[in-house]
Amino acid sequence: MTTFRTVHAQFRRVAPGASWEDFARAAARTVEGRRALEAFRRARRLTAFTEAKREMLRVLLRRHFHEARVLVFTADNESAYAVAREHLIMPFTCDIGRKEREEVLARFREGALRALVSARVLNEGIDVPDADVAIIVGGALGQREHVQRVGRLLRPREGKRALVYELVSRKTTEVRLARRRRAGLAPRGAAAV
Amino acid sequence: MLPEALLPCSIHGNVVLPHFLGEHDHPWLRVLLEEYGRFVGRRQRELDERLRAPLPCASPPAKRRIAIHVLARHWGTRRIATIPPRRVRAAVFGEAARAYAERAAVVASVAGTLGVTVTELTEALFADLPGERLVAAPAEVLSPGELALRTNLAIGQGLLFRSTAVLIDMEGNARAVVRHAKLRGLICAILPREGERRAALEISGPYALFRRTLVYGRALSEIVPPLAWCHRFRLQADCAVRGQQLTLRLASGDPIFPGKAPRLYDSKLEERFARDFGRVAPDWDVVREPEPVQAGATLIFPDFALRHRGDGRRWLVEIVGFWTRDYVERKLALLRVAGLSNLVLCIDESRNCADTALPSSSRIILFRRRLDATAVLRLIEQEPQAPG
Repeated sequence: MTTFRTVHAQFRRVAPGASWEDFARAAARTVEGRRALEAFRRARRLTAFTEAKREMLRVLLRRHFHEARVLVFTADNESAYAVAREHLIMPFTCDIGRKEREEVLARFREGALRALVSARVLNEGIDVPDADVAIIVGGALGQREHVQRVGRLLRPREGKRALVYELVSRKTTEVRLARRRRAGLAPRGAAAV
Repeated sequence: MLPEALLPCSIHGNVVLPHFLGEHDHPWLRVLLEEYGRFVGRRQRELDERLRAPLPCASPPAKRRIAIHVLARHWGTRRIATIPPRRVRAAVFGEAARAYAERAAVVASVAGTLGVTVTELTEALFADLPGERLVAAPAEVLSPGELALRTNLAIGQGLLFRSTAVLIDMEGNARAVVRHAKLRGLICAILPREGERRAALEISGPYALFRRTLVYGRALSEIVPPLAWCHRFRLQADCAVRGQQLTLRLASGDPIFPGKAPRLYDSKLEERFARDFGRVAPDWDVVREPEPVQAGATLIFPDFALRHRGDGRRWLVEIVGFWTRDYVERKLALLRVAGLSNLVLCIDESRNCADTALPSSSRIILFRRRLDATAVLRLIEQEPQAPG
């Protein structure tokens, strides 16, 4: 991350008000900048599914196995497959064919599958059956996407109680991002757990 | 369709200039090909991961991105799975949801049910997904030069995908291009041009259509490789790039992958006829794909020209594919209008697409499956001298 921090700090000095997109565009033009971007991406991948998150996910899945339908959200497909392999949860990604995805949703609705893990596919445009628990393992989503994810669980129903867990690695940007997302959610009446 | 961001090009006035790869790109293309070679037998996602990082030598990012895209299409992948992965997924995740159990117990139980080992089961679980497939070496490994040409072809095709109208001027070997346009059903008109063996093709671009633009665009872009086999060509297209209406120009000499050489004969039937005619008529030369002939506002592309070595008599031969009486009548009328009395139409009786019989004409030869060279020779020898 030192490579990234140095290049990013240099850019911020030159262009204080610039956005992340401006930085990415400028960085892509030089070898050093590209290395910095790659370092940033690598760091993000490392924090996406850490050992601590794996352990916590195991605990949560066990806790809710009997009484809830669970959706697990990851930062990328790779992490989704890692979760799928390790915890034997059906992945729901763009790589899975349309027909199989339809079957998966039907089985999830019937209760033949208790959990699904997805990176982005579940975010928009798919009618996912009601779930009771969401576990957000990773991903730098904006407020809008976060609200959508949570909204899938909070569909109004009498007596419904939904739980959203967000797993973040300490001393990383994940903490700040999660706090910001939660702030966006709070006025809508959701309680963060 | 290639995303616009993948197309290395610049805009000068109202012209879009593709940034073709040249010899100066060969060093980094060689490194890229070596990287691919190193990953044969490993998972595609590992290769993707590696390719996201910069190469160990300088390489222009935009060109590198599209070269990787071209390589990905050229290099195959294979999967390792003894049983269908989809079936494995249904069984494993279904069993895991039935009752809480340790992972190892679930996997062993499903493997036993499906009659495979635990290793085979875990390998098959996602073996069909793109990232999990194994990188396989292609039948033909590309050289840096060839990869550059193929990448240039992809750039040209990517820009053509964004066209509203295309005009191609061709000289020599135009037939392969016209044949492609017709076979793929492109919306086009053939325009005559002054000079021998010259023709022009005016084609609607995908962006001028409202539906099926992707399929149409693919068909149009496939016209570029045969173009390279024309002795000379000039292509001009109106393209919508980066929100502007721009002109794209391609011409002979551009470093574009030429594809396979056009076949000398369209079919075995034609090949056999040329061989048979050469045998039964030693005084005649058989010219394959003579220059197109103007007939009214359009062009006719005869399959053969037959030229007598002694007196210079010249006949044209066209072999008709599927036909209806109406089609043949229109064709004969067109030939009359054009004053083409030296053209013989050879019609396969079995390819009649209607119940009606053929119109009578002394310039028609009927055949079934095999065109009789002797019958053609008899007709052209008996008929009065046609204008050359």
